[in-house]
Formats: sequence, C-alpha cells, structure tokens
Amino acid sequence: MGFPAIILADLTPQWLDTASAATSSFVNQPWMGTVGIWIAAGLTLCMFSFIYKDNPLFKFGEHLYLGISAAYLMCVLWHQFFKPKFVFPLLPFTDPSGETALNLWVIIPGILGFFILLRLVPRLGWLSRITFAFYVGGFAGFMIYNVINGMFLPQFHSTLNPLSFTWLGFNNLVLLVGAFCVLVYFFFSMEHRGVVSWMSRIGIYFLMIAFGASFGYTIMARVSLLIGRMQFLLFNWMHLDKIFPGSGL
Amino acid sequence: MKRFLEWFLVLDRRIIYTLVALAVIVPLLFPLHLKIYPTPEVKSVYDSLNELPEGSPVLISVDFDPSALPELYPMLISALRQSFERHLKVFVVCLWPNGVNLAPMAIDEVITDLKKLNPGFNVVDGEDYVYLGYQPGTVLVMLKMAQDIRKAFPKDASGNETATLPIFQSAWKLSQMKYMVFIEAGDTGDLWIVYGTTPNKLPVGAGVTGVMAPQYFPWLQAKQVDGIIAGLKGAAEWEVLLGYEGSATKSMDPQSIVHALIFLAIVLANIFAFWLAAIKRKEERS
Repeated sequence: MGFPAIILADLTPQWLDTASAATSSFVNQPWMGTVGIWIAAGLTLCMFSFIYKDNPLFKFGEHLYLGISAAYLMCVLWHQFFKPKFVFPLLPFTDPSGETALNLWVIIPGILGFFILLRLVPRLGWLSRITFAFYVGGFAGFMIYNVINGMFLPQFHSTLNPLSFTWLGFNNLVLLVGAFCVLVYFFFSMEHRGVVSWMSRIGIYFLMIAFGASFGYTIMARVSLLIGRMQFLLFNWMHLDKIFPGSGL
Repeated sequence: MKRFLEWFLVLDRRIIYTLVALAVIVPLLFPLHLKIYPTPEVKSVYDSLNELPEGSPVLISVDFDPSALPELYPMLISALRQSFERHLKVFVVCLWPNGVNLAPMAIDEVITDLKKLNPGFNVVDGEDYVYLGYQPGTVLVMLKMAQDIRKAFPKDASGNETATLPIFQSAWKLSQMKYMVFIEAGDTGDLWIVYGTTPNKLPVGAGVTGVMAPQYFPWLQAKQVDGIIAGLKGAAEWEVLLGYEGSATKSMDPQSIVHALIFLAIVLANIFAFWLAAIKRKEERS
C-alpha cells in the first residue's frame, strides 16, 4: 500500500506541498524536540527490556524500528533515485524545476526492473532471469578487472616482503608463514597428514588469533553502542549533567 | 568453595548486565579522565590531513546510519573539523540511504562549534564545502566519480547544479582529490578501496566500526589505506590529536572500565574452571 500511496501523492504536487508545509510547521514546534527525546528514551528502554526477558515492549520497539527503517529507505530511494532517474525523464511535466528533458532510453532499464517484480507472478517469474543475466554479466565484467587489480594483486604483493634479521623482517616472516599455513588449512584436496597436518595446525592457531582479535573489537564496538545510549538517557533525557558536575556530553 | 565456584561459572546473565551497566553509568557521572594515547594508525590519518596545503580538495564519504552513530559520528565530526580548520575544500558524499541526513547535521554542528571558538571563522557552501547527498548504485557511483563527480552527482543535496559550483574548480574527479576519509558501517569501505581509491591512487583514511576494524588491517599492511580509525577508541584518539574533548573522549572512561571488567571476568572464569576441575578430580580419586 505504501509505495502506490507515495506515487499518487508525488504526482500531485499541490497535495504534497500543502502536506509538507503543515508537517514541517508541526515538526518545527519548540516542544517537538522534547517529545522526540521522550519517544527515543521510551523506545531505548523498550529495547533494553529484552535484557530481562523477551516481552511485548521489546517486540513493539523492534517492529517499529524495522518498519520505519524500511519506509524511510523506500522514501529516500523514491525521491533521490526512482523519481529523478526514471519518472522525470519519462514524464518531464512532473519535474517541478522543468529542467529534465524527455529520455525514452530509461524505458529499457525500467522494463528490466519490472521483470524482477514479476518473480511475484509464478507464471511470468522466468522473465526476471533476463534481468539477472544482464546484471550478473555486466557486474562480473566490472568486478573481474577491478578486483584483480584493486584487491588480489596488491594483497598478494604485500604478503611477499623481503626477509631479514630485523623486526621488520621477522614480521614479514610471520605474515608469510601465517598466510601460507592458513591457505594450507583450507586446501582440502590433500589429506592433512605429516607436514601438511602440522602446517594446517599452525594455520588454525593463526585463525584463532585472528578470531580473538575480531571478538575483542566486537566487544569494544558493542560497549561503545551501549555507552552512546547511556549518554543519551543520562544527559539528553534525564539531564543528570546538571546534578553531577563535570559529567555530560 | 565448590558451590561458590559452580555458582560463579553459571552466573546469571542479569548480574553481568547489571555490573556492565554500573561500569558504564558510574564513570559517565564521575569522569576519571583516563589518558588516551593516539596509535600510529590514527596519527597517520591526522598527519596526512595536516600536511595538505590549504585549499586541497578532500573527499569524505559518510556510509553509515544512525545505528552506528555513537562510534562513527565523532569520527565524522573530527574529519570535518580538521578539514575546515586546515581550510581544505571538503566534498561530502553519502552512499548509504539511511545516513543521508547525518552529514548535514555534522556539518552544521562543526561550523557552529568553530564559529563559537573563532567568530571570524567562515566557510561557504558550494565554495569551501559541498554536500552532494546520496546516490544509489555504490560501485557504479564510484566508477562514475572516477570519471566526473559532477556527472555522478548532477545536483548537490541543496539542489544546486554541481557544474556551476566554484568548489569543483579544485577537483572534479577522484584522481584529483588529495585525500579521502571514508566512515563506514558496512562493506562500502572495501568497495571504495577496490573500485575508488586504489585505481585512482587516492590516499585514504578508513574510519570504521570496531566490528569491522580487523578486516581493514590487511588493507593497511598493503598500504591501500593510509590509516585506520577503529571504533570509538579511534575516534577518541583523533579528538585528542585535534586537541578537543568530544563525545568519543568522554566515552573512553566507561569503555576502559567495562573492558577491565570483561577481562577480569574472563580471567576469573578460567581460573575457577580449572580450580573446579581440580576439586572434582580430587573427589573422584578419594
């Protein structure tokens, strides 16, 4: 329902102008900031309530977040992409600035895009394969050259550094051994016995260290998010910085 | 003792949550001002921006949404602040649709702060900085920006024709930029490196969430990124280098306390697990 509603509203600029003017005068009221903070604080507490156990308040907050994110994304894509790139070139009279010229070439990507939507119709779903074939083929062409030059070769080159009896040389040796042993671990066309087994085991240790580093960073990131929310609750919402000197944002 | 060890090793998660909450709230209300030491990865980004001559064009890509705000927004503030203080020409783009409103918010905040510090400070939209808004297509946008940024973004976020903006006299394609900072919550940073910065030999500083940071060290080792600002800690280091106390610096006290708590919990849990195993072995023997 949402998408056709946006289209209808958008093709009638007078409606939109009146509605958006009314909305912005409402949103710009001084008390709206306070209301926004209270809503945000309430929703944060709803999400935190999951720490105790799953409950309807958490579900409400979760679904509201997903719904708003999806709707917001759809509106941004409609206004910043679909309208200027497809609607205006096809129907220049809908462009309020009057700067877009008629461009019928957009019909081709428009049809290809429409084919993807036909996946919802089982009998015509096969048409979407044409679009995917075009997309995969084109993107693979872009990818192959850039990935080889922008990722594979520089990474390969940076693994093969000169070895020497210095710390840098030692680092380079660790890097080389680590990369090689991890590759051996993921080489499944040979039975992991003898030397191969040992190298594979060393590869596992390197992987474990990498996972440990990743886990540590993940904890740091999650704690950071918690701190951000706590700062909001303590200072933006409860204004405790007025009671505790030296604290605050 | 055995009962205590067993109780500790299956500690109710709600007790852990309460301890973590206290470890966050108490240092926020009673700051400890623990010292922050900038790491070479962050210093490298700071130095690179500092060494650019006045008027050099720099690109900032804002590729995150409000869910990563606590970690990445302070980085965006620092990137803008340093660029404006150094009188660089700042091009800001967004390749994440849900983050489209974050950049203008940060630009306004930085300009207001700098005007408070120095009433004579002035930057002009379209001349000293430009926010080009969001364009979908990620990789295609990067490839188009390599050819002509004005064609990738025919209008800026305010609706001005980019072809007429004076700032584009300093640079109009990626290879003409002198430096780039991307601030990422997803895989757009990898795409920037592969499709945007490496082919155009554009030095880049990577501002990323803590979760993503380990995967950027291979890029750093290959010198495909100039430095890494990793999570809130990286953002705090950047603030220290810039000489101001922002939200990241203020968050470092609780961050450190929680890390110490987690470290203690892991160490104690391991000691107690071995201890309990030893008690059980002893009991079996007897």
